[in-house]
Amino acid sequence: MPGIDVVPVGDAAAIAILGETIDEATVRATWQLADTVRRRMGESALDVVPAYASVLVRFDPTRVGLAQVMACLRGAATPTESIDGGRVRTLRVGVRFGVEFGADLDETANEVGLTVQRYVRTFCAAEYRVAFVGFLAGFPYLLGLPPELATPRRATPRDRVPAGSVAIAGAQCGIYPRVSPGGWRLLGTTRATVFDHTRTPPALFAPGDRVRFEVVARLDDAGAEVEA
Amino acid sequence: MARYGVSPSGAADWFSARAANLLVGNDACAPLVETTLTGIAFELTKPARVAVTGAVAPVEIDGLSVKLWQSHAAAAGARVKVGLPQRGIRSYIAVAGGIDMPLVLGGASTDIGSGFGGFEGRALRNGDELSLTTPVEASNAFDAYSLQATPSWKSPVVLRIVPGPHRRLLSESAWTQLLSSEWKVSSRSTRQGVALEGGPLRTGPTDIVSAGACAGCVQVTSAGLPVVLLAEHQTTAGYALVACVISADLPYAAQAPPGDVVRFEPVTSARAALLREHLERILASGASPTAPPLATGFFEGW
Repeated sequence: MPGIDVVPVGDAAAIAILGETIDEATVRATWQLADTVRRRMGESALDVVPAYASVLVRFDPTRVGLAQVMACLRGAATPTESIDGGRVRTLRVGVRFGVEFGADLDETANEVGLTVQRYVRTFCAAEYRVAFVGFLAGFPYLLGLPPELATPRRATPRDRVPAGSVAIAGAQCGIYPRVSPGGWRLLGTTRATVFDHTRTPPALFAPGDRVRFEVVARLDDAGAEVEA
Repeated sequence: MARYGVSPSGAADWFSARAANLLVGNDACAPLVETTLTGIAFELTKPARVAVTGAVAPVEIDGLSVKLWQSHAAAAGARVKVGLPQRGIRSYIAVAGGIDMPLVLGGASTDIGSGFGGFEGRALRNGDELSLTTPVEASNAFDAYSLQATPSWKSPVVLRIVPGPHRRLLSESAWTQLLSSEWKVSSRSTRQGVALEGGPLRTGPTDIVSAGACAGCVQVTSAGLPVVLLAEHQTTAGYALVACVISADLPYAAQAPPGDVVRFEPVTSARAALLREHLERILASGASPTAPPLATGFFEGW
């Protein structure tokens, strides 16, 4: 893998940096790398954290050395084991749009010169993919927002974003699993259970999942369906 | 669990927490109680060994003053009182056997932000009752840490760092500024991180493509203010991680009181590893009154 950079993160973690941009090819490479590292390190990896263009590994320095971990990350960049293609799931997420359910929808549509209806239609026509889950328990970072809908995040974040908010920031798209401070633009609300600590796995979304958003007329209908 | 966006959570001051557990014969990572900027008083309903570590705070068992960093036998009905912290801010209270907590996502600790784990996913309140796991035969080799083995929560707080994965996002002059400035701990600090006031660092935008983070990482916002991530940090960060506090100094970061001065000091990776190793040896060996004092020559700063 050209250009992969492996550096320490303190003395108990290391990170492989695959690039500096957000694009599907790089994201896929992070899934592969994370999978390979998990397999090879087993329990000596306390956490393997993929993101858009990097994979961080946290470890116990009393059990394994930094140099070993960094070597493993470098080696994992060219996987020799075949990656299990796996079933790719598609999740259909119901969303109640409208300014009472997504406080920034009108303004955002206006900023890109579209009517709200056109904005929502374009938003829902796209197919998204989960790049990784981070920031908050269960929060999915989605690739696939049509470029004509992209707008920078709000200049001032809110102290309180409602749970289930479907939101965008720049070209990123995500769903707030719970009430949280946040600076992303809120478009609508879903009632899908994005995170449930009693469920296995606890997060609804996983890297690689395809996601489609659907307009629903009533908030109660705004759940999620999984098509395996 | 970070793959699900779930923070590792757990004790902010890992050294004090593990020491408290080891003192009462528990596994180093057994569930225990952490207090922040407050005290705690509780009654034991059955006899148990108790140890309190972390911040310098007065501890009494049934009205009698007892020492920190030591385990004490307490009878059934004993009232244990840990007063307000005087140096440092977090106390760790371990009871032999460990607090009996169901595991949530593989851990017993509370994730206060997300509201799950630990005792009902929240901070403890008056009247809460905690069950204790019945201890197996206590086999701890020691019941006290020697004075040289225990941290003194000095001021200013010096946090030793190594360069972080996004060090290059800071100019040389901003890096120098980070190292030469006196920072002040903000009262906005939480278990997620120690927010620092001062500077601000003369830096351009510090947005990054979101990447994994861990406790100790020093994140710099575009406002030029550093935050030292602690146990309940967000799993991925959107701002540059310019440096990392070495794991041996995480306890200091976790114990830094609001208003106190913090300084950063660069060290090498090799030294960071040695310092961690040194702490692990202290933890494992503790000290009894008859043990020789630990050599401190090479390892200043503890």
